Amino acid sequence: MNRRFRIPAIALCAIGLLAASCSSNTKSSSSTSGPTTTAGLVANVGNAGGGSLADAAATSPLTGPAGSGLTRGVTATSITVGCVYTSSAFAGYQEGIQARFDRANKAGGVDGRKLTLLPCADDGGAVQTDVQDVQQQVNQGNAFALLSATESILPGSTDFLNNNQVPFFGWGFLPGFCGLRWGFGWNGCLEGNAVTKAQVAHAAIQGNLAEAILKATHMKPSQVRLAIQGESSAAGKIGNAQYHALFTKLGAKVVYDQANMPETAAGADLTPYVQAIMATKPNLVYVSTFFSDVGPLVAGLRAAGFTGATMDFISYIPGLLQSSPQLASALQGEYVNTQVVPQEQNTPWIAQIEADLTASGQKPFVTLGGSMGYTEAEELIEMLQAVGPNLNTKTFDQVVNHGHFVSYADIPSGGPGKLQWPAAHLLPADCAAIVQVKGDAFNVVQPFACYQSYKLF
Amino acid sequence: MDRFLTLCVSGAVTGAVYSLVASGLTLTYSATGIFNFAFGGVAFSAAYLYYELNTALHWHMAFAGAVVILVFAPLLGLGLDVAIFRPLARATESAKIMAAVGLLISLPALTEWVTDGAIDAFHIHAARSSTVLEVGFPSGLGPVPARNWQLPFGIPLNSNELAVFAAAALCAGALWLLLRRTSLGLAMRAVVDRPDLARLRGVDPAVTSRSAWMIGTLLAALAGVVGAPVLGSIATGPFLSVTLVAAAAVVIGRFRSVPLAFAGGLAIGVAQNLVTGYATFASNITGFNESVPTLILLGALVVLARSRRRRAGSVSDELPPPSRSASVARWRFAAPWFLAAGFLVVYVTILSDTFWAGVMAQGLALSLVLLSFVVVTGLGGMVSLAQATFVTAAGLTTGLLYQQYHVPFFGAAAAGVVVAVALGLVVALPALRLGGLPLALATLALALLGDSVLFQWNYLRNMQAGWVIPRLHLGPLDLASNRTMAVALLGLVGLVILLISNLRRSAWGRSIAAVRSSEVAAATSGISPLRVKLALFALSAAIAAVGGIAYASFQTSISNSTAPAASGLLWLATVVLFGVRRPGAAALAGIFAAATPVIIQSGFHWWSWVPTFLSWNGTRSSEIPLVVFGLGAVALARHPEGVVGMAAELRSALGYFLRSVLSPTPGAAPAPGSPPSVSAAPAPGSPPTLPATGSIALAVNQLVAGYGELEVLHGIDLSLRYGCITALFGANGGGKSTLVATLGGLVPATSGTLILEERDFTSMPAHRRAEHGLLVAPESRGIFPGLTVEENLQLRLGSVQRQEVFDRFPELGRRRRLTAGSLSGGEQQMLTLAPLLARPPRVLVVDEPTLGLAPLVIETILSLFRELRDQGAAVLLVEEKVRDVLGIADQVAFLELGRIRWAGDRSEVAAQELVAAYLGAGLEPEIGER
Repeated sequence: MNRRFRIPAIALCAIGLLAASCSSNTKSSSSTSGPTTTAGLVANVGNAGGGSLADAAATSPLTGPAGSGLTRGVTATSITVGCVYTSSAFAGYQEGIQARFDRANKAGGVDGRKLTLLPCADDGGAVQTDVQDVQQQVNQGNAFALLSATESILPGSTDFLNNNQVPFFGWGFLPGFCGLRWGFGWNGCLEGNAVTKAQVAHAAIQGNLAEAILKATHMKPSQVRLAIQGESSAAGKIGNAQYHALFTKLGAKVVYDQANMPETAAGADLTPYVQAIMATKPNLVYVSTFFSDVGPLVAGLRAAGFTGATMDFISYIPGLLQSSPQLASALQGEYVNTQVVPQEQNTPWIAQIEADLTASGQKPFVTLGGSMGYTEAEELIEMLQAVGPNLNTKTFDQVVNHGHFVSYADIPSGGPGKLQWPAAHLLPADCAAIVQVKGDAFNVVQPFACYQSYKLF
Repeated sequence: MDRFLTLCVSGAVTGAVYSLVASGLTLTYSATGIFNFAFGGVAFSAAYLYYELNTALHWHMAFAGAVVILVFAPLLGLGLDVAIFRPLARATESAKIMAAVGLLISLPALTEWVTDGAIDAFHIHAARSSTVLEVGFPSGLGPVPARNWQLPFGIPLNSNELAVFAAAALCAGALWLLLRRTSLGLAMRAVVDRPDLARLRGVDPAVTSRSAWMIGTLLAALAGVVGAPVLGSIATGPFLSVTLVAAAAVVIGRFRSVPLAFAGGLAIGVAQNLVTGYATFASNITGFNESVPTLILLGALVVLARSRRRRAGSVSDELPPPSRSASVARWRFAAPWFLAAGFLVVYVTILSDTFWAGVMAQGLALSLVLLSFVVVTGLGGMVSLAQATFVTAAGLTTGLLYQQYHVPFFGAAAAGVVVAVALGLVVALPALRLGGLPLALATLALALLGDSVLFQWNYLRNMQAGWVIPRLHLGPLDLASNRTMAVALLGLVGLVILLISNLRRSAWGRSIAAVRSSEVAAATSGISPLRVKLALFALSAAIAAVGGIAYASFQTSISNSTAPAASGLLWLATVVLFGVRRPGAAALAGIFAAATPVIIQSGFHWWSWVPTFLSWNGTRSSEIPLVVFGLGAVALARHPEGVVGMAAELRSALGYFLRSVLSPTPGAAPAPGSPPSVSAAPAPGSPPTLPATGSIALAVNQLVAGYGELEVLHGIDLSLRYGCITALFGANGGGKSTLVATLGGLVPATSGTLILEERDFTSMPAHRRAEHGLLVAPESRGIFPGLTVEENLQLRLGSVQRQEVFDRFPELGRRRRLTAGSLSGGEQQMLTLAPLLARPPRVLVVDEPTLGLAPLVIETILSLFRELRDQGAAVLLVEEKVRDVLGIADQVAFLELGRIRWAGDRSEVAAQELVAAYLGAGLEPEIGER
């Protein structure tokens, strides 16, 4: 699902005196109207034989100008790629991209063009800085495409990129990766019910949000008594509504649904929440809160005698358990739904990333940021290779958005889920793994796999 | 019942972190007058360093803790005091906030930058900043992993929470002892109450300020180290949030009382739990739970923060800076700005590329927002931290109407401005009751409420995506081009500057200035403070709204995250850095704010003929811009009027220097010894001396002093003898108060000497003169209105002598626990003189002793002076009214226009002399009994 980090406030936001502005992270989530009947189930967009939703999404109109043949950033011998990220959340991002670019360049580049990565701009968590950085990389740096890993992003950035025909890549739960012609999520469009019909023509909810954990815990939906504790924000409400609808659809019982937990930092003692949750006697608790609340809530539930399963979507951070023993002890037994392939699973994809990192002079340790960077780089390179030597925005648009281009087509399973374009501008890849915290390691209890999405509208 | 108790107890335990922070904030505020927004920054740095030492380098917890809390923190506090806060002690509220915010921003960045640099340079195996910032629940002072206990009623407690609670209780107790029971604490409170008087009473403000900051920083470091495990991460955001919540506890403690602040913190924790647990009806309102502390802050401010002091002879706290433009022709003053604007137009249209034109346009949009501060803070003297709310409200309203309802742009924008003005009136309501820092906090609280509740409303904010705001096509002007946009915005900025300048010079401007300096006086002159304040906030909100819409139009989008509440702090800090009173400075601030980060990241490169070493490639570090901002705070400490004010000062200093170099020496001392005298006058050439009835206590010789370029005393010669009362008369403007201030050491002497019993006092600082027996009682009584009667005496007397005073002056004894500010004028004067009787000084200088006193009281006061003289002290009474004091004077002197016009024995004073000195109505003064 999505990442929920509370962006650290003023200090980290204050780059450059004023262009700063801080944003709380948002999640993509469910709609107020649940998915329809079984007939509305849509096959995963990667599989052949899509359902009605996949076809509808493939022919939906996309916002943004069609490619007009610009060659910004493309020369006979190089392609310039821009880069924007938040280092505090996605450390290792640049190294991940560079590792993949190095492998491609060693093989002669893409059709003889070497990939040149502009130094990644660190926005420090301030979305306003993103806007400036993005404009600078495109207008001054002459980037053909832009890779991003930020906790939030303003339409000021994504609209700019979209209107200037700059293919941009990032994590699809953020706005700007759904319905925009030039925005490509590394695992599709995850906004779910965070968008309205007026904004995009079709939207879906990811099935993995519920089904992965059910598989991992061997629970049948009818046995489930679900408690959803969300963060106190509009985004939290949206997320809760999504899980609620999904589980209800599957036949489970939702006994507690509140999106009212402020960040621990703002001083919430979690006792009242723990009390309220325990009073409803759940056997599965979704922890959909700010990052700093996850540990205390899980620990609080355990201390109050909760013996069921707890799950969150954000605490799979390689290296976290070793560097934070206190947090590790609070999270013992916690399940985490992760959208990136966990490096503990040791699939060929992971092995390839580690090999490329080593060849690039880095440690073979796949951080969250590194994984994302590598994946986005892979996605871009595949598209460039598909376009061929005659590279400009028009040919790019035609090949990727009008053909039947599939991302990660040749990656064996255990790698990112396949994305069919242009449908993936509106639909998610819907792939995830479940890991569990044991000691100071994450154990893979449900290997990375892809699930079926549900139609929203 | 069980549930209730559980919620209360666990709430109190969690509330301890607020109590800890509130104690530190209360100390700093009550001892230095500065609300330490930077508390969070110091706590962050301490937590960061502790993590590095304890977890990354494996130092033992006690050792690492001791180094961070007992060594690093006090040193940091010392540095901050010397470099930033002591020079700012007398600056405006907005300058103090600016410095604290600047520190909040730059200190964490500096910590990260320095430690990363040290790790790289010395190959230390510590953790880099990216790792540290990701750490969850670092270890604190306690076992790792934390021990867990179960208290009765199922309340869980872990060792980290216990550590916080213990630290909070310990600190509260220690601080209370410090402030209320030690002489250092008394000295600290005296310095905040009346800094000049404290210096005259022998309190060295440098010592109190330094101690306050060292202790305050130590507390912040402690809060950081024990708080990080409980708050969950090493990041400034949580600490800033806690600071804002703890502010509510500080207000509950009335900014002075540490035990109350401690209790307040616990109470807030309990209240949060009870509301969350029981107010389930409100759980549908997004953001309600996290608003509880903010609501408590607002409530506490409105109810508790009204100032109840009565000041005798009060004068406005904030005087505008000396206006250097008064003597300069207006066109010369405005010329540089026009030139700059012209250059900007040329740059944007011809020299720059599209990207840079866009940067300028963005900066100008920001300038509009910053100009709103000039109106409310620069002109009106009210610090408003809610500007971000106006920006967001206007932008979202405009976007909603334009995109959803297809209202034409200008109509939608007008509606946006109206909505912002309405919010401005809401924000103005606290201003009717509060001022200074409480008002700033109240506006910040309202802004936070706006963010957490109002702007979460999906109808208004349109989910995460927000709204689209177009770039207009106005006839021939296509604002889609960055260049055109920049020039158009420049025009708009010019218009607003014109508006503000006209406002300042109009009748409204005078009303605003009147209300600013004294609301009571303004009200009695027929000006309604209510209307003025509401109008100011409304205008400020309107300007901010226009700026916000312009900014959104430049970016073509607006969402609820474009300008969160914290931006208000940042904007205020920036505009104060440049100068909040000058519209031009605000405009400049906006442009710099937009351009600086770009320059820092990309460097600058000149044309090819400029040598390359003058170019710079810039840095990708996100920390450098923040550190630069912090340096701005340091610069501000030196020049509270801001960068532009600094430039103006430089320009005039340069002018003065040139003039003094190019022209013959100005202001030469007058020829000594030629005042007209009546009889027994000394020979011309030597200073007029008083006949000896005792040995000379204080000899003043050719004393020249003044303020800046203005020389007030042109060579004073005066001798004070033991056992002798000297009365110095003079009309207002003659330099009496300046002389008193110079004798006390508050105004430095430009030339001449001051010798007390063979010892040269001329350059001795004020607080040391008191030690050597030279005591000055300034105008408006020598008492500390904020301290109690007992505490006022305590500054000079021990407990035995204090009891003697109470025995002698029973009316003071009856009021010993009241604050001195609530005494009547006569009682205050008695309080000034009583300790001097119990422990007489060598030399006493009193300015206007009978001012504002009833005749009977004057009698009593005069008899006290006689008593002091009879005990052998040398007394100098500086008075305007001759009648009363003449009766007890032994020697008399006249001060006119900075020179002693006549001096001699009282019996030699001729009636005509007195009349001539005062343009009186020919009345013969009565020479009273000696």
